[in-house]
Amino acid sequence: MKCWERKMKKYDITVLSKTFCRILEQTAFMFAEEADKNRCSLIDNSFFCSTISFKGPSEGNITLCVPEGISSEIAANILGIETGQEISGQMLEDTVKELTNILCGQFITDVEGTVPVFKFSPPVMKKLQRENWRALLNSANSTSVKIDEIPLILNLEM
Amino acid sequence: MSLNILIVDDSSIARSVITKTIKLSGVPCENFLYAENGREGLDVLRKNCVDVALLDINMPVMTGIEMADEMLSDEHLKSIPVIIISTEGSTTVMKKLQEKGVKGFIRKPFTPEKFCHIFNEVLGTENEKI
Repeated sequence: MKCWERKMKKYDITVLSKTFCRILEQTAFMFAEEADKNRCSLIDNSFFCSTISFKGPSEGNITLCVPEGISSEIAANILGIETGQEISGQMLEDTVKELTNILCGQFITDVEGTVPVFKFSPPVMKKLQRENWRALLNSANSTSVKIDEIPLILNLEM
Repeated sequence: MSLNILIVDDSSIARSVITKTIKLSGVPCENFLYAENGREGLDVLRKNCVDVALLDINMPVMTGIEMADEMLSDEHLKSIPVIIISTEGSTTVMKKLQEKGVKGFIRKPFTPEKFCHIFNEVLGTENEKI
């Protein structure tokens, strides 16, 4: 097996989805499960899409894409406030960025252990519309997890 | 003794969650002060009485490591204990920071118990709890 093949095997996207489910449970007390991305339906019009680059013995980007609707529920749970209480758009963006931040840090140690040193970029946020959502989901580097029946996209580019 | 705690993190949600978690931990706190990056954090330290500084690493303008470096080389600030709160999981990085003088580390995601333990280790706050 070639070096890059070994590396790609280690950076398995199913590890990323498992790491995300664990983090969501720890931070927001919400349960997510791996989903069949071919069976995911478009359920929102707008999505928060946050990306972090990592650089060290390996390098790449991790992207988390969260439908705007569920982001307020996640934020409310993380902050420990009542669902339905108004949360600013900035706070919703920060929630998705912070989740990506934690995901990236945890994922790297899940696959590389605690000895290697990595540098992480600050999370970069962009809003995704319906037409781009399907393209991201269909990427070979993407997987999906569901909270109830709502799909979130995780993408790992190496 | 109730503590004046400085939280330096560029994420508004992280600042809120850290504050809430410290309150839940039972650590006696008087006042919370906030900054969005290391540069702002140094300004807050120079204008206020702070007992402990909690720093994220990865921030724009000035990182938590750069801020800790400035604090540790400043006569007036070097006695303020620094605790790093970050997603950083590299023991290599933590060891280097410890050698520089950083007193403690809390990895995200965290629990009130983790704060209680670290504050007790760094500041001996266990007997101060209400």
